[in-house]
Amino acid sequence: MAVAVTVRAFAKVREALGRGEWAVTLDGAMTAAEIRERLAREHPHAAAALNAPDLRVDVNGAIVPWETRLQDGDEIALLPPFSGG
Amino acid sequence: MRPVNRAPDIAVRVSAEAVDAAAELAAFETPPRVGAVVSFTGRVRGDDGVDTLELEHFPGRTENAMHGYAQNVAARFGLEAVRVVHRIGAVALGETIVFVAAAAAHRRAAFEGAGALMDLLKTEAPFWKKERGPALDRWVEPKADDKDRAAALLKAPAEAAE
Repeated sequence: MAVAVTVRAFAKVREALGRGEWAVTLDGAMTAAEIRERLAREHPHAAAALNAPDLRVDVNGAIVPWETRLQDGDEIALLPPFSGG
Repeated sequence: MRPVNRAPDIAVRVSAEAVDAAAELAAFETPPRVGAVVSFTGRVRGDDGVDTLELEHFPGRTENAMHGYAQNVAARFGLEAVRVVHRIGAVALGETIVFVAAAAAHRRAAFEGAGALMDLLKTEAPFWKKERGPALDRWVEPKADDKDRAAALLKAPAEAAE
């Protein structure tokens, strides 16, 4: 069963990937970590930014563990460490 | 003792336009029981070859986080009103990046509340800051001591200041 999700990326990850938002169709259920691995494979130049240990993932408005299983319609955001103020 | 059923007046926004800190402070209306107002203005500092900061945010989530942390800090320190304005986009040397104002019955709560809210905005709200200059193009990493202070605030039980 195909699962369609939206992926958004910010700051250094957005820059490395070359865009901030795109639609991704998964072949069945995947975890957020698996999406990250797939993006790193498809965009090797962004692998370092994607694999940064301090990168966090937000699903539908809440930061969740990378092991979280994604569902159809989920909105995923890749969040490097914040630096406001 | 402070009544617990009074909602503090919280106003937060992000701004793509220049922020006039004096005008923000003048517009900060507070109820009569307020005896102390503390404001903080953060500006772009011209060191290390920086002439511009580029601020990125996560529309919607950032505003929600700002509001949530303002409420958290208001409850913890017993603030009556909070105003936060955070710039996004390109911010030039000397311009205001962030304005925070905290109002309380007494000064200590206002000072501590404004400081705590800044600690949270530094590392816990979805903003990303890039330093630009003639020879510079660098994403800013959060400072370890800022992260530690914010983590301690979020871990501690929410108790109002005396």
